[in-house]
This record gives sequence, structure tokens and C-alpha cells, in this order.
Amino acid sequence: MLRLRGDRKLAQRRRLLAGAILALFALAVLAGFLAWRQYDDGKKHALNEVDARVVLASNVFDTYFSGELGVLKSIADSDAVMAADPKAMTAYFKRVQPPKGKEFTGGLGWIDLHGRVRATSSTSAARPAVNVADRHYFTTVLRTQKPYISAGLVAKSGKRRLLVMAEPTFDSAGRLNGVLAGALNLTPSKTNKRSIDLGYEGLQIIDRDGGELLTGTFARPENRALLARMRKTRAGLLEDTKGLSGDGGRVVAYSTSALPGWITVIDRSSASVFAAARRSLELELASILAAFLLVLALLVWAYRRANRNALAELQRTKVTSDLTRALAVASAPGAVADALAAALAATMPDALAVVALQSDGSRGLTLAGVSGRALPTLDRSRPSVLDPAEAVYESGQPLQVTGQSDVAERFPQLQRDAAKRIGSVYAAPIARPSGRKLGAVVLLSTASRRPARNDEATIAAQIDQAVQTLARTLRQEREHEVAVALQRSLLPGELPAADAIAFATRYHAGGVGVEVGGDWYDVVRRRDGILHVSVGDVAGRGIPAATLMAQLRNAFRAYALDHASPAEVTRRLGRHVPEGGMVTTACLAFDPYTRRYEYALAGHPPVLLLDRDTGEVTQLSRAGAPPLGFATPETIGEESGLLPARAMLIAYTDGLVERRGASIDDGIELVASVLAASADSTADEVADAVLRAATAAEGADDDAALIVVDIAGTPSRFEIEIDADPRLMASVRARLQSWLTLREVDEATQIDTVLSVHEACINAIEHGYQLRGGTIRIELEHEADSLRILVEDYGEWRPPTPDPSRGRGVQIMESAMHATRIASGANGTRVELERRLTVAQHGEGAPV
Amino acid sequence: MSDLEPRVLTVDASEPAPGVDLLTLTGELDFASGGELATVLARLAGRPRRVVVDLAPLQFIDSSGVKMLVGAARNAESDGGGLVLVSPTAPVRRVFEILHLFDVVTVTDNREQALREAAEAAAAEDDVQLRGDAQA
Repeated sequence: MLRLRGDRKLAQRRRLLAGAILALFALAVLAGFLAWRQYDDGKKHALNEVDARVVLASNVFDTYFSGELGVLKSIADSDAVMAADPKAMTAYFKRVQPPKGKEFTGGLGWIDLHGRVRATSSTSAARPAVNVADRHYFTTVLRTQKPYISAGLVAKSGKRRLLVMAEPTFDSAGRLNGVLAGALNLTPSKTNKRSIDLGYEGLQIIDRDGGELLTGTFARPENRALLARMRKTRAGLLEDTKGLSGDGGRVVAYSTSALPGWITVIDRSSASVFAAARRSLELELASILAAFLLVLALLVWAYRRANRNALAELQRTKVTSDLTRALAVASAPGAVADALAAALAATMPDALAVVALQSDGSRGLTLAGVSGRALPTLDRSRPSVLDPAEAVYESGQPLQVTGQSDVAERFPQLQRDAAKRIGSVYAAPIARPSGRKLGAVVLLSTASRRPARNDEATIAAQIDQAVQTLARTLRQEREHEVAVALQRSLLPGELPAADAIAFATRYHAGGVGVEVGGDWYDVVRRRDGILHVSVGDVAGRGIPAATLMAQLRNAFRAYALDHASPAEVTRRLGRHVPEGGMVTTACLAFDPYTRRYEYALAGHPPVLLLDRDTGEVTQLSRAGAPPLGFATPETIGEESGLLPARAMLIAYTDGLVERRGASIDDGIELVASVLAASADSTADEVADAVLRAATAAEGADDDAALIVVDIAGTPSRFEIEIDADPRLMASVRARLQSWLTLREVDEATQIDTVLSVHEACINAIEHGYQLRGGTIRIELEHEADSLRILVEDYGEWRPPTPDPSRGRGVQIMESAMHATRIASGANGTRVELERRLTVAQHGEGAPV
Repeated sequence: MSDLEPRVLTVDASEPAPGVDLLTLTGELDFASGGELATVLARLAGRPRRVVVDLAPLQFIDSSGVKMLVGAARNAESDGGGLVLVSPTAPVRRVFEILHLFDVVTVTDNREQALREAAEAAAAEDDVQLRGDAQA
């Protein structure tokens, strides 16, 4: 819940920040838009400016030329001109236009109606008169009798760039008597800085002939289309067009002057026209961006500042909730210690958290949990790590040591082990509210300072939180141990060891609860030497299952002694299963003297048989019936076979092979593969290996019982007890014969031994027990060089009778054996026989 | 353990020739299994019979079995007949050997010859008997 609230707060704050950033962004966009609009206006303004300049320039030219023509007109109206007196004119002209005069820099002159220049302002008066009758300005003025300005430059006289103005002259009677011409000497102009500053950059004047006047080059603009357009429209403003030279991206403004008909043009690159507007746009955008970034930084800073506390709170909350969750599922003290250590380390990131718990039995503490990345070089298994824990465990009070030297003084070994890297030690006992101590926590920090008060409180809270679970798991662990001990007590302690046959059993308590399971294993050695192996599993857990298990195990022992057939034993076990109960069993009987085995399964996974010489594993699964509780007696059958010379059997309950989410066949295969690889292992090694493999798999948490039977060969001892019933003797002889054959005893010895044992038994039956029955014990021991035989009965001792047949039995024994000793007493008769074996047997050893 | 059940002794009695009884013993003859054989032998007693006992399928004999056969041989002889044991197996032969009974009973490995000789002896006895009867 805490975690949720913290999360919500954080998310709210995050949303707020996102909204603010969004709004800021919108504002920036709006400002950008406005700046763009302003730029647009600036561009228009710049264009208008250019246009205005052109008009202004055009007007300036108009005014100038009007003034010049006015001057010319007033000269024409002078008396000297009206009188057409060359001398007077020359004198007048020189006065009006001295050599460095400003008005008509190219000079003044009067031309008579024949085209002869009669008077000039020029100093060289001696020169013969020049005839200009063919000049355009002369003919035009004669024809129109109106003032004239030449179309363009008139460059007829050498290098001089001249502009000619002309005015008709009249005599006092008003008759046309000549033409007055004034020339302007043009100085080529270059666009200079001042003209640029005044907005006249790119100013050009194009005369009526289309020549560029201002630069004085007379060049004609490349762009004829533009020229044509300008002539046609007289005035205009073209944006983003091709300029006079034909280059693109130009702004062209033009205006045609009224009087000389020349075109004033400003032709500039758009970039230069709009430079100011662009600069202002750039400046504006930069200001907006700067403001945006500044406000953004402010926002983020404020957000982070506001969040820092919330995050710290959230981290604490997360650690607490992680700890709560871990504790909820912790089933062992070790898990609690791990969870607590992890929580402590998360709270104190620069510390190594150690949790020590009181070890069972002894009074000391053991390391139960370590967490944290601090002090990576410190070996956590060093006993010195527990020194601070021991100290607070003893005192019951928290402990704080700050500073490397203080730590070294208080815990010298620990500081040495940590290579003097520990800056501070904080330790606190773990104790129940009742005061019962459970352990201690230690925080080894690299920083030389005590934990913040906040953190110290958190640590205390975490310990408090863990204490309850720790107490519970400690109790459960003890209870589980008791339950397992109880379970073990219900299972057999010692199994009937036999020569060449070894057993290993394991009981794996899957869960951690207090409930005992219903799995069992058992081995019964019958009096006749046949071994009965049984494993079984009562469905369910707890006392009812364990009780039924104990009953079934006892029943198995009883039935196995009475019945040699596993199927019959299984059928009888079925009678003990209550209504609604379910039990699975595997019963297997084998005769170590004949290697014959029989088995019966009821709802149980197969018994596995390993041939240790070939490594082959066989699943004994053919004799299967439903589980007891479902199986009817008729469905329970048995199968039989012969064990290989060296064999290993494993019978187990399904807890060993069942996994959540996996097929039971996979589990069986796993056990089979372990078994197949165990040809040279002992029964105990196989049991351990199988259990390890089976319990290592994920999801193996059921109880499991297993028994491994190692049949290393044929026992060197043949040891059975039989009822004193002559009808059983055929079976005894057959088993004895089989044993002797498996022991590779020579055939003559086999014959004599079977015969002698038989005769001894018959004597016991017939004479020892007087055919009233009893028990006969038969023991044979096969050694390297001899076969020792004991046949014993517990019948009443009778004085030897002259019965010839008894005598014949003894005679047989004495003849067939190398030594015969018959001792009869109150408690029965012992017949001890010995047959010596030679290495080369084959009959020669037989005594006669 | 089923194949360890006592292998009972079976006694197969036939009369391949007049006056000749062929008994074939299969299995094991011991203290417990001799009942049927005792009955068959008792039926033969009291008459001069030629008995051939085929021991080839007999896997075991104990002292009580030997006693039965030796007793039957004595009875046959005292009745004027005879008993021949044919082809004893090693375990059986061993018992006779230990008890030094090869002097007491006739043992042969040739079953056909034993049967032939038994038939001839029986015929001869018949002749004697017939003659005796005629004389009477």
C-alpha cells in the first residue's frame, strides 16, 4: 500500500512536469511563430525601402536634369546668344563655364544652323570650327525646336564620357538661329560604403540606349528580358528574380525618370536586402531558445529537488515491501537471514550486511546471511566477521564503532581480515520481545560515520519485522526435524546384511512442514534366505498417512515371512487399505542362491535393474496392477526372471521421479541414467547420486523413499532355515544345487554335498523330530579350499537306534565328506561336515 | 518360487514281455516321494517276477530310495525272480557307490539287453513252472 501511494505521488509529479514542459514548448513555438511573422514584415519593409530609394534616386536625377536644362535655357536667352555674336558668346561662355566650372563640365558651345560650332567655352579659340551638322542632338533640336538630353553617353570625342544637353536658340525676333549644347563630363562611380549605408547599394542607371551609365562602362545588361520589362512598365519592384546580370535570387526595384527617360535601378541580392530582417529573426529565435532552455532547466531542477525526498521514501518503502514479501515465503531461518541481510544492504548501500543466527545445540552464532557489495575483498566466511555479532549478542545492546583506528582497536582481527578498509561497524542484536536472543546483525561500512538517524530507525524496524518470521521458521525447523525423526523411526533401522548383498536406503523429506509422509521402504529376509524388498507410498500426508504406512510396513513384514510370492504379499497388503484410501507398492522377492526374482507392482513406478557387467538398465514394469484401494486381488499378478551375475536394483516411491510440470517418465529416465553410470559404485554411492540428481531438479518437493540393492555376486554362505517337512527337501536340494553351481563348485562335490545335506536333514526330520515337525537350520560356507556344512535340529536327543537306514545316512555323509562330526544333546543334533576342495577338482577330490 | 516346487517322482510301469516288469523312474526319489514306488513294488511282490528299473530319468536318490530298491531286489530274488537297475545317473550311481551296493544289486547300462535277458529268464521260468505243473 505504501509502495502504491509513493508511486502515485511520483507519477503525479512526473505528469505535472511533463505538462509544464509541454506548455513551455507551446509558448516557444508561439514565440517562434511571431518572430517569423516579424521577419516577414521586416522583409516587406526592406523591399519598400529599396523601392523608395529607387524612386528617390530617379527624382533626384529628374530634378538635376531639369535644373541643368533651366541653366541652358537661361544661357540661350542671353543677349550674346540672341545676337549670335560668336565673340560675345565665347566671352560669355567662358564666364558662365570656366574650365573648372561645375555646371557643364564637358563644356558649352553654340552651333549655327549649318552645324558649325561658332562659340565654345573651350580655351583653344584658335581651333577651326567643328561641324556637328550630322549629330543627333543637332538634328533633333533643329527638327523639334525643343530641349534635348542625349539618350546616353556620347563618347565620340575620345575617352571622355560625355552627356549632351541641347537647347534651341532664337534671335530677338524669335527666329531659330542655332543650337546651344552643353556637355556633362561623367565620372564613373563605384558603389562605396557610404552609398551602401544610405541604401543605394546596387544602384544603377540605364540610359535610353540601354547602357549602364553609373559605372560608365556603357555595358548593356545581360538580362534583356528584364530590360524590356522595365521599359514597358517604367516602375516596379521585383522580388526573388533574376538581376541585370542574369543571376538569380535578386531584388530589383526600378523607376524611369520623366525627362531623360533613363531607368534608375537598384539590383541587390535578396540576402543583402533581407540581412537585417534575418539578423533580427536570428536574434529573436536565439532569445526564445535561451529562454526556453532556462525555464526548462528551472523546471527540471525544481522537479528533481521535489522528488529526491519522495524517491528516498519510495526506496525505503520498496525495501520494506521486498522484505515483507521475502519473509512471507521464507520457510527456513536461512531464508529469513538472507532476506534481512538483503534489506539491510539495500538500506545502507555502502555497507556489507551480515546476519548471524544462534546455532542449534551450541551457544555460538553462525553466519546465516550476507548481502551487499561493500568490502568485496573481505572473505565473508572468516570467523572474525561474526565478532561484532558475538559482542552485541552477549550485551544485548546495539553497538557503534566509528573510524578505522577505533574499529582496529575494538575488532583487530576483523579489521586485519578486511585490510583496514572498514570505516565503521554497526551491530544490533536480534531478540524477541520476550528478550529471547536469536542472533545479531552487523553492518560493516567503508564510510567512517554512523548511520543516519533515519537509517538506524529503518534498520531497527527491519530487524523487528524479521524477528517474528525468524521465530516461526526456527520453530518449524525444529518441528520438521522432529517430524523427520518420527518418520525415520517408522522406517527400519538396520537391514538384513548378507554376504555379497548390500542395501542402501534413503528417505528424502520433501517439504519443510511438520507433516510426516506415508512413504516406506523395507527388506525382509525370510528364514529360507529369500529376500523380500518393498517400497510403498500411502497417499496423503500427516499422522493418518504415517499410521497407515506403519501398519502396512508391519503387515508386509508378517506376510513376507509367510508367503514367498510378492503378488500374494501385495494382495494381502491390499486388505489393510481403508475405504477411500490409496496406496502404491512395489514388492520384489529374490533368492540370492538361485538369482531368481519375482515382483508385483500396484500403481507404482517400475523397479530398475542394472546389469553391472553390461551397464544395461531394465525397467521391471510388466507385473503392474492399479494402486491398492482400487486393485482387485485377481488383477495383482507377478512376473519373474533371473538376475544377472552382478546386479543393482533400485526401488523407489514416486516422489523421487515426479516433478511439477514434467513427465514421470523423464524422472524414471533420470534415475535410470544415474543407475546406468553406476556400474562400479556402491549401493550408498548410487543412493546418494540418485537422490542428488532427483532432488536437484526443479519442482521436486515430495517425500521420497528409495532402496538400492547391490547384488555383487553369489553369497559364499548358504544359510537357510526350513520346517522339518520331508516334502520341502526337493526345493532345498534344488536351491543348494543352484548355489553350488553359481559358486562354481565341481560337479562331484555338488553331488556329494547335496546328498549329504539331504541325508542330514532327513535324519533330523525322521529321528530328531520323529516326523512331528520342527526347524532345521542349514548352513554352508564356501571357502577357497573347503566347504563347511552345518545341519542343525532342535529335536530331542535319542540314543542311537540300530535302525540301518539312519546308519546308512551317516555312512553316506562319512563317505562323501572329509570330516563328519555329529553331536547330539538335549537341545538337538548338530551335524558338522567338511569337504575339502582341491584346485583341480573334477572328481579326484571325492573321498570314497 | 515356483520352479523350486518338489519335482514329484513319476513311476511308469509296463510289461514289455510276459513276466517282465519295466519300471521307469522320473524325477527324484527320496524320503518323501517314494510312496507311489512302494505301492508299485508291493504289487509286484509275492510272484517270481523279472523287474527292470530304468533309472536314466532319475536325478536324485537318497538312502531311503536306495533302501526301497535294494529291498525290492532282495524280494524279487527270494521270490525266484530278479531286479536289474539300468543306467543310473551320476548322483544315483554315487549313492550306490558310497553304500557299496553294486555287489548287492545288478546294474547295467544296456537297457535293451537287460530287457532281453529278463524276457528270456522269464520264459525259462515259465517252462520250468509249466513242466512242474505238468508233473504235478
